[in-house]
Amino acid sequence: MSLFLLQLKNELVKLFARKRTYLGFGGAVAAQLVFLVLWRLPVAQKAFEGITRRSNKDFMAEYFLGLTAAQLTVTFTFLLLGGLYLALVCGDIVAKEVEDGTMRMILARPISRMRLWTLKWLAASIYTFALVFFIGLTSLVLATACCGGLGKLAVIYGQHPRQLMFMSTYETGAGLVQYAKGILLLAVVMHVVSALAFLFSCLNMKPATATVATLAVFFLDAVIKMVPFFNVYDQWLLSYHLACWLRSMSRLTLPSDTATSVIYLLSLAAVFLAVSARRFARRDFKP
Amino acid sequence: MILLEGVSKNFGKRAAVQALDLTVPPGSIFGLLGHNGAGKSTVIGMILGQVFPTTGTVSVNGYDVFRDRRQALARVGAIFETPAFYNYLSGRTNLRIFCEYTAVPDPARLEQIVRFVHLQDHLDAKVGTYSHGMRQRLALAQALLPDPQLLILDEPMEGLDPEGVHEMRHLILRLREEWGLTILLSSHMLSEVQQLCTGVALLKQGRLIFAGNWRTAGGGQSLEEFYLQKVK
Repeated sequence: MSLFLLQLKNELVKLFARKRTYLGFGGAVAAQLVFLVLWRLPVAQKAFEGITRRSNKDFMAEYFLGLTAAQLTVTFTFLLLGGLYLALVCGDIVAKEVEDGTMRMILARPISRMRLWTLKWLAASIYTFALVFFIGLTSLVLATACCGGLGKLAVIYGQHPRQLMFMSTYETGAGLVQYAKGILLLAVVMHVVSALAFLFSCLNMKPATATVATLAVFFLDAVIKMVPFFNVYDQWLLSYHLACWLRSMSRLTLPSDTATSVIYLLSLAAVFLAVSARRFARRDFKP
Repeated sequence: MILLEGVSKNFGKRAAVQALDLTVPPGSIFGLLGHNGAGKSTVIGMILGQVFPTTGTVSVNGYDVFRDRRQALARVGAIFETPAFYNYLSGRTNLRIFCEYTAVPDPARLEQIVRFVHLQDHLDAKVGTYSHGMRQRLALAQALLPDPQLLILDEPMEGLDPEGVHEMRHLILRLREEWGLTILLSSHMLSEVQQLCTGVALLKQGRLIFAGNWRTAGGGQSLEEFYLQKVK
């Protein structure tokens, strides 16, 4: 194994040996179970019938099973917790080592700062993929178990709870493919959250401050998106583009629209990373 | 071995180190002394390339620490006042992780170093269960693992009990005598520095007020008397 891979493995050992890293995984499963119970309440079933504008029981029996419930569960889990856990772990990844003093121990070694920065960011990126894939997989498994089968996929997406934007339906096989593609896309675009938290982590601030600063940016963004007066600015908002994984499952969404969102988010992530690399390379690590 | 030329460091408007010229010769135990906030840790930070000087150059083994970091720090080990480790990992895993930032540790050398610092019976325990003295010895082990020529010790005896101080002093002396290391020792404990160092640098508010052989310059004074006379 090359030294770089060995160092990356060590970064992952450090990351995944901490209990805090698993908070996201445990919290996500707990949230999924809560949502899956909520989806089964009569009031929720009625609401879905209303959303689909088809009140016949067959639709619910055919479509409101594992796949659809999993897609809804992932949406709400990430809305509530995904960003929080990414901000928590990626905001910690450099700042916690600086706070604990281990960064000074590492930087007493003849390792270049850029190599160390790269290792840290790769660890953050791997965590992002791991968390999203874990949530995608556990949502599907739990939803299938709770609903008694995979069923077909009904993709429901609305800008506003009362405003139905679209609904596309897929057979089980095609639905699984759409779901897998959606989760992969979510994992890619969530890197913008990780990159922002990582940027704050590389600045001279405490780990908790890095997490709170990241969440503040995303909450502000989400609040602006919810205010009707600012609808014209949707195209600039992170929360709008982060939902591209869901929109991409609709047959009405053009691939170019999804590509625009992905490029926008990855460009922002690249800017965050460039600034973080610059700061990490030039900052003092004081006692 | 270590050469600082015209080194200054400002943190905002505060000058932490001012126009410092210092040479640490090879093969010695060299003391870096000064009151709290005198700039000792900042100087060590600059020697290790962790703190960028505002002006001046810092070189180790003939290499500029900031331009040729890899070569300059290739044979350098360091420990700090509060040794920081990953408490949730074992001592062995910690040693491996720190060492592998530069090279894969030789298992035979790892065992030799661990025996040298008397940690062989505790290496597989989590570092969170270690006493301060054990952490300090683990820090010494991680500094020695990459086969250094220069060892930088920033307050290595701070917080140790008398037995720990005694043990650390003996380890430092053995490292110079048996291993031939050059050691830069920053400490508040003048009685310990007196027993270990002949060459010292005294810092006061970021300025160098003395560098050289304190025994010759002090004319029979103890290091404490010499220090107090200089800083007044």
